[in-house]
Amino acid sequence: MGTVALRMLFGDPGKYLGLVFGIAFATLLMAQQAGLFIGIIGRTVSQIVDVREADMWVMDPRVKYSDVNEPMTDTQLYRVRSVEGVAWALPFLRNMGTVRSPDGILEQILLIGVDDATLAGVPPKFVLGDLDALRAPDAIAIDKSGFMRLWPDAPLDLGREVEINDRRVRVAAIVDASAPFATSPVIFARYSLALNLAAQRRSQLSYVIARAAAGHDAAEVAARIAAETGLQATTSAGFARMTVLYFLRNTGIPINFGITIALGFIVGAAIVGQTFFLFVVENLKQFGALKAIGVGNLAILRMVLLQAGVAAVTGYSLGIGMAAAFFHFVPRANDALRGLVLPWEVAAGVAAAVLAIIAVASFASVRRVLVVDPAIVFRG
Amino acid sequence: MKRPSFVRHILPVAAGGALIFAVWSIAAADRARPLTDPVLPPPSNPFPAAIAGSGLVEPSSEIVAVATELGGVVVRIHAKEGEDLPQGAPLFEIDGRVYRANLMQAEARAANAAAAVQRIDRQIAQQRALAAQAGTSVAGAAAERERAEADRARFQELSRNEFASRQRLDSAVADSRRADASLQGARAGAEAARRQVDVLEAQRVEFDAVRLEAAAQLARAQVDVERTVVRAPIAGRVLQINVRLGEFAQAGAPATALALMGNVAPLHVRVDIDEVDAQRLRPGAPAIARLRGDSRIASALSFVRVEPYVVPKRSLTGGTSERVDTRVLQAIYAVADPAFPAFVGQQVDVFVEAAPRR
Repeated sequence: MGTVALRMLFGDPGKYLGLVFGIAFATLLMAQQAGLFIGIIGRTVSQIVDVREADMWVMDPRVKYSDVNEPMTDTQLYRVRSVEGVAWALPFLRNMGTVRSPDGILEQILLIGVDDATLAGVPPKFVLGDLDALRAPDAIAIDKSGFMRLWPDAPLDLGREVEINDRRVRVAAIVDASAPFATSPVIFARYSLALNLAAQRRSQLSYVIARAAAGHDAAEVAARIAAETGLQATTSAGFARMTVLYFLRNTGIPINFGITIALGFIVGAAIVGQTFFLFVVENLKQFGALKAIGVGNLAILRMVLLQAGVAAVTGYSLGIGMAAAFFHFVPRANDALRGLVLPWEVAAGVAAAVLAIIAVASFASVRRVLVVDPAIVFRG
Repeated sequence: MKRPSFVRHILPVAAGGALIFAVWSIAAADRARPLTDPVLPPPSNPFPAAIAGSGLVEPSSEIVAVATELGGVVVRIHAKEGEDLPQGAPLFEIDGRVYRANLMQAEARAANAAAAVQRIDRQIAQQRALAAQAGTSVAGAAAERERAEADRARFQELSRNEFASRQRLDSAVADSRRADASLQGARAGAEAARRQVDVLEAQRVEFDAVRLEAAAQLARAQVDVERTVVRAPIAGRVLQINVRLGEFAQAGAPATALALMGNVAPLHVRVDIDEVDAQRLRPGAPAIARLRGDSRIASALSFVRVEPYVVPKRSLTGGTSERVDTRVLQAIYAVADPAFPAFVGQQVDVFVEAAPRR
């Protein structure tokens, strides 16, 4: 019976291809948009996840997300260190700045200051130079796309000089930092240098990054830090969640992407449903003939489901392949989209959506088959 | 062999290939972000419960900013930075020519004044001799007067009996009167000579005072000469010398000290403890200092004292301007490990054991 079903399906290449490409493009649209959405919203926490050493963040209680911080007094670092279960705590400065150069560069940057000794908080992947280069006087590390933004036509190299806050600094390393939400170049410097590069404020300590001691749960230690110091303390994941939720609540990003994804689902469902329905209706004679020779309803249902399933699997495979190709090749070629990937959760979610589409379409169509009169074969 | 059909053969193969690519691409995407360790271990707390603070290494004598009382051009530098000196060892010298000239002048004045006193002593002795001489003149005049008086009495007697001429009597009377006058004159002379001794003695007191003044000035000039050599006020290490040959060393307390000294055995650590943690500090609790830059290098600390005055924290984190953001309690600890490779002025991370909260 399966062979018959497939013969029916492939016997009408126009509708079959319509089905397959309808599903493929619905899949592509949903997967691509969902992947972009997750990638873009994930960029809001780039500077959190790039700090690979720490599992806790401590900040002023008023801070709602990572982009806007309220500096704390220097002694808060030591108060965090005093809390039981904290293996270590280090300062972390995050500030906006302006980079200038005599040959015409003027760009806003994201300035990150990390502990002088340990340099904890600099992303581990270096394109040029190494971590120790940051220990030199006036040395900074810049992210790769930031470098390309400042010097669009130049090859990646070290030793270029720019001014930040009237201080000369030298590019000593190029790092592979995660893309920030805003497109500013990200500049890393030692804390003491970053203090001089940042605008003078009464207090400067943006964040304290900390690690829970072995045998302590980061969430518990964070709660203890909050209780003992009166600061806000959270795990890295918790801070990322806070930041993502802030952007979800306060920007139009989720609505925009949500609409596109929903349109992908609705249009896909409409096209596929309609095409499949037409396919089934056009093949009612064949189904009638099968019924006339005594094929049961259950077998017919299985045939329809097999037809729908083959179309769905083929279409989904093509669509997800195209989406994967997009995320595989485009972010490598286009710097603005760097770091975007197709999460497996999206692929699985889209598969579930395709399954829903195909289930709706087949169940809508199969009713006609089940109630068809075998005598239809003998009519005009 | 049939021609391959698009829908039966090419499409399933393409779909299969696309799916395999998608699975591979998703699996290959590096999304794992495992927790890594910093390249150097950050300072960690070795105690179950502790107070952390930033510490500043200082000499156990605290830092002594050496000053000069006399301003002047530096002509010689004796001490080298890093040298361990005993108390009183010369550090540097300012130009002392004027002060040495002043000393010579004062010496001359003192000699002069001493000579003046000697001279007046001799004058007094001479005057005393003159007074003694005048005394003998009085005795001679008195004897002459006695003789003249006796002559007069004798010639009065003789002239009454007219054994002697009147003229002889008159002559004897005149002699007697002259002898009287001579006696009085001699007495006045003797008195004057005595008075002259008094005058000289009074003058001697005056000259003696001048001599003492000159001696005091001499002592002062000597002190000035000594002060041109600035000496180590304590036994300890020379931490910094801020004067160079030919520079003018300003007297008093200039903004930049001329030289810094301190006793570096043992070193002390001045720990800033946030005022909100101050009540948790137990004097005498064990403590540890970790070197910035490599926290594996550490030394135990022994408690010395707590400064009972809570001061505004000075921001030493490298900012260009000093910012006061909070107040801190300063506790002083001694570095127990003599091999702890810290320099004076270096910052260290300190953990002091504290009672657990609650």
